[in-house]
Amino acid sequence: MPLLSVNQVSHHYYSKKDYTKALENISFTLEQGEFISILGPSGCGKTTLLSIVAGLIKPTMGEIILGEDSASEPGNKAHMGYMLQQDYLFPWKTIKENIMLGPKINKTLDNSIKEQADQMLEEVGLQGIGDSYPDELSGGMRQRAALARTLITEPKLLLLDEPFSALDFQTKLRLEDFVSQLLKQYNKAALLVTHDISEAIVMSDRIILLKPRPGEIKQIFRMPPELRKISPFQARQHPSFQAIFDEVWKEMSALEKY
Amino acid sequence: MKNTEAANRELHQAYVRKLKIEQRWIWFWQISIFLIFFSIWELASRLKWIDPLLFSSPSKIYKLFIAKASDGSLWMHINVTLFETVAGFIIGTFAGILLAAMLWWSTRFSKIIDPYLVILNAMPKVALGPIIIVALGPGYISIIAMGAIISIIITTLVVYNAFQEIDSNYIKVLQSLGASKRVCFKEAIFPASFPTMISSLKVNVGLSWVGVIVGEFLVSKQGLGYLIIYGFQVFDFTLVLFSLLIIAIFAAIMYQLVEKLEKKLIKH
Repeated sequence: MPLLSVNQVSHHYYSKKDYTKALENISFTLEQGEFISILGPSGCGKTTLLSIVAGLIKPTMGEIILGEDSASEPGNKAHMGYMLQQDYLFPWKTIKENIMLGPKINKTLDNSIKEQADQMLEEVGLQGIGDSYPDELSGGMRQRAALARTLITEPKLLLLDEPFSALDFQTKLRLEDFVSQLLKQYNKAALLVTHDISEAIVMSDRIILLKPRPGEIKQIFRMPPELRKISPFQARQHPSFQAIFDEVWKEMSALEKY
Repeated sequence: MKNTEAANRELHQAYVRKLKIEQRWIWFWQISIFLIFFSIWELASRLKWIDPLLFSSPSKIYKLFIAKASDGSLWMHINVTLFETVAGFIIGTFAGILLAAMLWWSTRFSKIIDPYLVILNAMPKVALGPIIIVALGPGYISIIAMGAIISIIITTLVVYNAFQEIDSNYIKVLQSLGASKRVCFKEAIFPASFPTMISSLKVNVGLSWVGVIVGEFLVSKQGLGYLIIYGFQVFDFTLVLFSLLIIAIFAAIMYQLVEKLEKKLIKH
């Protein structure tokens, strides 16, 4: 049984005059510990798909099956951690309060969680700044704190909505390595939405290329095992990287010609 | 060339000195304007450039102040008006925020009520004075109601607007952590709107004074508004201007208190 099955999901957005097809007949599965990137030009419904998987939007047609249960059931959201383009740390809460937001909402806040939050801070390299406020931190640190907030709920599946796109290039490379290593260490699955081809190549096991208007699966690329064994940073310099990049680039440019 | 630590300190000291001098100039001019205004007023009144019967003079107002302060009647009037204003201001602001929360909670309710809010907002609330007095009786309850009603609708509109302007991604974060609508309100919507609420508090300080003074014009037997209308009826403009100055002082104090509250609440 795969960790996540997306079954023939279609989604329409309605306006008074008309309806727009955002997604059309999307189906794929995600295994335990697997990393899938959803790649596509803007307007291909990537973020919509992620919101549907997270159970934040109900799809017009089709279903999401998470493990044994359906994701649209309430209460299952805790199995998933959602990370957005920006950190969206609450500016009036300290870093530690931000990290403990999940347990607070689920009413599991106790002393062991507080210790866990400290461990989590250490894990993401932010030890000793739990009492700082988000505006005192750099972009990379904030995004790591957001990661800690996501991980403390122990999600089976991480949903990443371009979490590195707002960062400067160096920070982005470092954070890619960091997230990749963390996911491998805990054998967690992840679904990454991105428009950055190289990021998709170096992070994923598989890349799902979406075509825009309506969002449909154009092609699925499987990344070679030699790239999977090494860190994203090393993968960028691997000899087979360029060939894959060119292949994906060609397919993706073909989509954007209009 | 590398500056020594001592030289760098010296440069910083110079910067701090410059700031202090600037601040002193600002104080100097603020005090000067105050003194010049009251001196010219006094002078103009004594030399009959202006009619002293109509415009009084600072010295007359000061004498009145001493008289009123020593017989205790001043404190009674200030107490009454201050109590009414603070009560009206708090009730108006909190009811406004509560109403805004209800609008946020139910989109349908907000759509239904929208045209009524627009009309109520555009209507001059003090015009409701006679009706309120008839309904609630000619006492301090009516006056508090005036102070509240004048600020409630505008608070509702402004705060509701702030509720809606919050980046929906904060809500997305909370929902993905399993938060209910109530939790979203408590954790994101409400705290994020604090700055707007404080600035509407500031506006409401002024508005509540208007409501209460007009209310006192209409009914009361005591209070600063009553002193003004009484002074007008007996043609004692020293009393009118005296009351006006007292109101100005207390309105300023209330405003300062709200600013203190703002600094305390909004650190990040």
